[in-house]
Amino acid sequence: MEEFYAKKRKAESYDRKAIDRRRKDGKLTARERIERLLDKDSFVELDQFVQLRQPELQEKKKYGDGVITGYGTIDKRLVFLYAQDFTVIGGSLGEMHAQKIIKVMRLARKQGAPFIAINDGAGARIQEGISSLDGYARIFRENTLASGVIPQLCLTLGPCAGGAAYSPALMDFVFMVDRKSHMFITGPGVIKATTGEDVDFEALGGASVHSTKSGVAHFMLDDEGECLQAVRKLLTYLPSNNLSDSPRTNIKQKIQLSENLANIVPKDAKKTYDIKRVIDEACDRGSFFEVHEHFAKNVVTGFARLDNVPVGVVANQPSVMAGCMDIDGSDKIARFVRFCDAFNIPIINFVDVPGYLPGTNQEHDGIIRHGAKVLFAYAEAVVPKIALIIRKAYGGAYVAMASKDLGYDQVIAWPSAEIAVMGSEQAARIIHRKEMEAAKDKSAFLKKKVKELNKLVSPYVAAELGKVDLVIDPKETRQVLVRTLGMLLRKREGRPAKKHGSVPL
Amino acid sequence: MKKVKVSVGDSEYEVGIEELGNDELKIIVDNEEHVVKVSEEARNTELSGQNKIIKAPMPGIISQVLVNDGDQVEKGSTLITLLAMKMENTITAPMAGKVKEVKVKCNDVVEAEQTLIILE
Repeated sequence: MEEFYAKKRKAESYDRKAIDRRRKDGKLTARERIERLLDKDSFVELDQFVQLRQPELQEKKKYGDGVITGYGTIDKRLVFLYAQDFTVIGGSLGEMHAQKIIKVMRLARKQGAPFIAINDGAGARIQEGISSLDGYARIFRENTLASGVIPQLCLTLGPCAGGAAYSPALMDFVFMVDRKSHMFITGPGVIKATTGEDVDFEALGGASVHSTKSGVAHFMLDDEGECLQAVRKLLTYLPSNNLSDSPRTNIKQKIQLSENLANIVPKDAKKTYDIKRVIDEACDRGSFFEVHEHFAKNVVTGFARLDNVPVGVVANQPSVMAGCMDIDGSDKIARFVRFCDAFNIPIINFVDVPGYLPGTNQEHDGIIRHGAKVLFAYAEAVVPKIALIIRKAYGGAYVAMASKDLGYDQVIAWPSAEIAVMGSEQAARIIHRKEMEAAKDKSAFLKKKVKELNKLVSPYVAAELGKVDLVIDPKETRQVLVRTLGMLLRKREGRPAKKHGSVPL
Repeated sequence: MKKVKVSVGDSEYEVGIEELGNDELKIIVDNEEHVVKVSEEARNTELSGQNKIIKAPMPGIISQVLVNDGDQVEKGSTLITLLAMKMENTITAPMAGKVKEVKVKCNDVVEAEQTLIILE
């Protein structure tokens, strides 16, 4: 037993100096991160005594090979995880390090339990050459096989460069800490050498860049403690795997009428408001948890609960860029919808969308290709899909967000809903162009025609055709959504047998 | 040529800066010339680092201009409303400051990224 305890102590020990350096940087050790993330005393470490094999590195080798792997529980539910240890050869990934990671990933997939990666490493271990690179290849393959089977969450809590950055990108949700996490494919040094451009780590691949511009990160937190809490919170909405039910909370809910809703949304359809206030009012109190909060803010995505049942929420945000659809917004929605569908999470759209953002930039950067992802994602999804039209639902954006014929199970409209190919004034100018040129009083003529066309925009026109299932008083929104979701929860819908569709990527 | 003093760690340098247009700057440090490209974020801030350029988020028509040159504004106060995408979009001040210049007037048609107001 003496030998066993001596080895175990050695495996769990840290280099004192390395720890001091981490403390100074405001970083936890790999082991502390795991302890804070999991339920108390639930962690079981695997492969503690694994060591690297490369002859040239024998002096540097250490038990565990720079990564701690194992399983434990979060809110009493099984999860598998790894945490890279930056103090061992810079947390770099070599053959055995990779092998340990792959082992827990396979376990996670076979047990149907969420997988959590905590990245903090220098990247490929150069001395191990092709074995290191192929380690990444094996991880990417495992990420792909596990995709849609178990939720995969990734925390980047330090550097994550080159090949290492692609594993997070293959996973479902990426968490980063402001000014502590960095992700990039080619670093500042390489960029300087090839293009002469000067850029630092933060400006190139900091949490702020990835959560606002690139969309790589779904969550940005101020420190590691908050980051670990956010991971625990996200898991409260997610099922453990694609065959199990989402965890439901058990809080006595008030399904109340809300007089407030009619005040949040201005009567004048030209005025903007914050759609998140509508979401908060309609969903269980305090349950809305936003995903991609800082990226493509013209659309809003996140998880919430309706009478304790987790749902995915997608909404247009009138207060940012009029809530129009664009390339980034399309990518954000499509990715989120496909995740929800893979894990049987019903989707609710809060629709107030004037259309697609016009402009050569958008067209040339491929809004057609990116916008198609949204159509594909919604049409393909078999989970319950509910669309609530608050005000505008115009043109192609209506088709994507609220068309019964695209596959929405229930389309619900407020009386303020406007559904049409385009705004009435624009439409009048096109339809009556010739008459208008001939008219004596052009503006009076236009006014008259706009008034006529306005009648076509009303939700009752759609309701007469059965394209809107319900027209409701805004104050009933929460009640109606809870009832509709309850009615749809047992939904079963098939799709033609195929290997897989060809998503317009 | 503008001259500024820059301290890096303990040492201080006198740096000369010249704007070359096309978002390029000539920077002279220790008698060595460097030509650098201005990043997108930096472009929105003028050289002094004190001014903030407010740009149109999307193409549209200016429906209201609520401030004049020289006005003091609070962070978050509405500067301009832009009629675009069937909506009256409010353009607000990202920081408190003084309006240096209003570049547009009511009913102007603006492109995306066009400068509307310069704050200081």
